[in-house]
Amino acid sequence: MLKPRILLPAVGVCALVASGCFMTQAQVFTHFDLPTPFTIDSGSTLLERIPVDLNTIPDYRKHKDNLNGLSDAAVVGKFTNIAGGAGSVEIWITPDATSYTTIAQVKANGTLMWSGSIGATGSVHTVDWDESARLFNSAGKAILIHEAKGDGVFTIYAFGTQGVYTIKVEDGSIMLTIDGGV
Amino acid sequence: MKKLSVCLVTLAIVTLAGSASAASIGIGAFGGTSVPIVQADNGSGATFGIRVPVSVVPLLTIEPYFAKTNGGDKNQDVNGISYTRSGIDVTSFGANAMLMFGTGLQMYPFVGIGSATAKRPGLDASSTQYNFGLGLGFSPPVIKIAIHVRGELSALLEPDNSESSRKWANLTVGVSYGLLKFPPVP
Repeated sequence: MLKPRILLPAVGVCALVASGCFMTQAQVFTHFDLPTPFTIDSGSTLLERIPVDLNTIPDYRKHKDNLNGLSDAAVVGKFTNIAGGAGSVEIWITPDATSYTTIAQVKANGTLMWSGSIGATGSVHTVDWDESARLFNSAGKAILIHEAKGDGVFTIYAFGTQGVYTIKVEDGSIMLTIDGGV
Repeated sequence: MKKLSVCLVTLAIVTLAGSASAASIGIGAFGGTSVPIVQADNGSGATFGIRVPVSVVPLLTIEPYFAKTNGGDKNQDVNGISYTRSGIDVTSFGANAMLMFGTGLQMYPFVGIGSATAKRPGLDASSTQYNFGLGLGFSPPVIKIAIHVRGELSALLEPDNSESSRKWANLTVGVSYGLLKFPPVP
């Protein structure tokens, strides 16, 4: 027979956990790997379309039912400018699964999520966690958070901004710190 | 708005102490270690700050505080590549309410609320902070100095998301000095 002095705190702890109290939330790290390598080329592929299903990530599935948001996000990887002037690589997001084939379609229906600069031909830039976290567009990040809290399915598109470009991306990943119940 | 609320509460507490009988005011400094609880993107660091304990009634002490916590870097491996995230630096101010038991050697549970700003690359946001803990104080006879050891759980609400928080376990050691007593002791 449990004594009240043990039972009452235990009931309290159970109530906190069951109610999803802010005290029972943790920051859990996970990541979605992008295809590696992929190349965006203004002459042929133009853009890279990457369907994302966060449900393929075990840590996401584990916390999905009590997920309250994203604490932190980053897009990391090694960006190599094979041909083209200095400019930027942009990543746009559309809610749900989409299959746009032109940059104009993506810009008309999507939202800029992330943008990083890259030097002229031959330059190699590895984007780290800190740098990447600063490069998010708030509107795009809001959609990322909304989708992560929703069904976890969305589409991202990567392309360059410098007119003529060929950029290779290796070891790319979307890093997420999710607020999930413990 | 939140900062204003915290300021008003702090001001009210100090004013209340000024009008109460047998009140006292001190000042203290503290430092210690701060360990993030289940935060996969933030590391352990140091915490330090100042406190102004205001004894309102014999059992109750209200303590406005200012604290700064420097988070440590955190590494995560992604497909064999190690990525480093800078730790979160938190600057906070607010007030704790402590129930003081004992004389000379005191034990006191406390709760508190404050406003905190969290910063690191890509993050600069203010939110509400809640504190819970247990302290142990030792005040030698005659002299006005007291030594305090505290264990504290600090929870900082995520910006724009009151359903989630980041939490730290803090262990601090502090020294306080009794400045004034009302009415003054002859």
